[in-house]
Amino acid sequence: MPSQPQEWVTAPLPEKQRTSLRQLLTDWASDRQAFRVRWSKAMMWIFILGDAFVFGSLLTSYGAARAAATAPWPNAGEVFALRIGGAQIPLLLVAIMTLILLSSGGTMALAVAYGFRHDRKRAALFTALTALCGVLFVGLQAFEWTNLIHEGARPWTNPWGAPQFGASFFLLTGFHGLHVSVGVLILTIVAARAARGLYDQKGDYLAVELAGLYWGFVDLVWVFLFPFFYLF
Amino acid sequence: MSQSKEKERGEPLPSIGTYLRVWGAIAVLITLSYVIFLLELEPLWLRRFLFTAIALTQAILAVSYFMQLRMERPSLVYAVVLPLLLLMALIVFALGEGSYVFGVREAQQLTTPLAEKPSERPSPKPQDLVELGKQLAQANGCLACHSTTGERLVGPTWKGLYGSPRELQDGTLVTADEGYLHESIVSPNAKIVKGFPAVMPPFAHLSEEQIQAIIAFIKSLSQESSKGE
Repeated sequence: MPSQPQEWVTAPLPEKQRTSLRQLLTDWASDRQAFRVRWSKAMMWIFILGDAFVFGSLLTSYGAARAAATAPWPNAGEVFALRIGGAQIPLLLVAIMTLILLSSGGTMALAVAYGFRHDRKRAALFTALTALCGVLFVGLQAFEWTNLIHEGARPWTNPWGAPQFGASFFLLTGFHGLHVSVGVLILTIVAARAARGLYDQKGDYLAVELAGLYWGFVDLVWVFLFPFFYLF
Repeated sequence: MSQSKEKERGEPLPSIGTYLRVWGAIAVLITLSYVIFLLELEPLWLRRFLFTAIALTQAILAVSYFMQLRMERPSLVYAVVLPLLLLMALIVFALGEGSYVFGVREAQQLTTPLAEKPSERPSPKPQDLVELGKQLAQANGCLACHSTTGERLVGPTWKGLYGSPRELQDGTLVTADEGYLHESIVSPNAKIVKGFPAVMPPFAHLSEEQIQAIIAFIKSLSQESSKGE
């Protein structure tokens, strides 16, 4: 393994100082790097935090718009129902999408775990699988958008009820879908690089870990979008 | 090699099995919330509470394991988690504001039920039509010859015109109703009011809606002078 600057490596603390609060105070008061992680990881967390506030604000304003709507809110179960052989199953498409996206969270975690273990093949394989799940998700979302637009949903109006529904739907799922698309791009690049053995040459799989952080966040947004927009 | 990696972290690496177990737990939680949705569990507040609780559990699992946050040092953990708690304040204020707006809108709909009811093709409110007529009268130069103040210009004033009797050149009396005003705009020389020159050009190029708007404006000038109607 090539030698690296060891500054970011966790400094071992004396046994009696190993409480959370003590560690927190030592790190923040020591006039050194507070986070003790690679700078790129700290930056990724800062980006995620910012993005979390963006999605948090979007979801919150959706909640405010919905609370203030006097027309009845459209029944998501009927709007997003999928017809299979004459039977209408409410929300089936969204449920499948959710399962796909949340599964991709698992494959990504495995990719990161294999990255830690320097398992080149498996890290690349699971990253690629994650990207595939992402493509599937975006594809199904495009299908859902097309259906809804054909049925007359617009950001300013829709045939089912409160007009705020359209704006909320397109903004929330659109912004999230954009994140998934960007994630697919990143994952494809990372998977190709991992497969070529670039991270073995560099000596660590940090890129896989960072892509995993981003993907975990995109996943996390859906964890809240799914219940609050579709199930509520 | 993997051992040297593990030493760099606060906690030992979770095994592959741990990830699989977390993955399974998340899948169960999603299915659970979907089933609750399908069963339409009552009451609504309980259903929504369960959805929120399940989402938060999923989020904590995903952040701690899939995003590895539980292996990081507290300095990073708190830097990430504490600011997010501020979102709670935003949510409380925004939802409070939303329900306040809802109350205001409902009160408004109760007092003016017709104005808020959505219709197929909303016809402009009378007030808008008058305003439109005023603009059209200015744009088409009507007001150069017809005052709105009662003053006599080239043509008769519009003030108090609507509904008033007009004496024509041949001595007959007609009432200035909508039909009369319409005719006088489209073909002004059909009926000439006594004492005024027949110089007004026809305004037949105006659309029916525009003519109606101008008539509405002329009407409004009579309603102001005689509040009776």
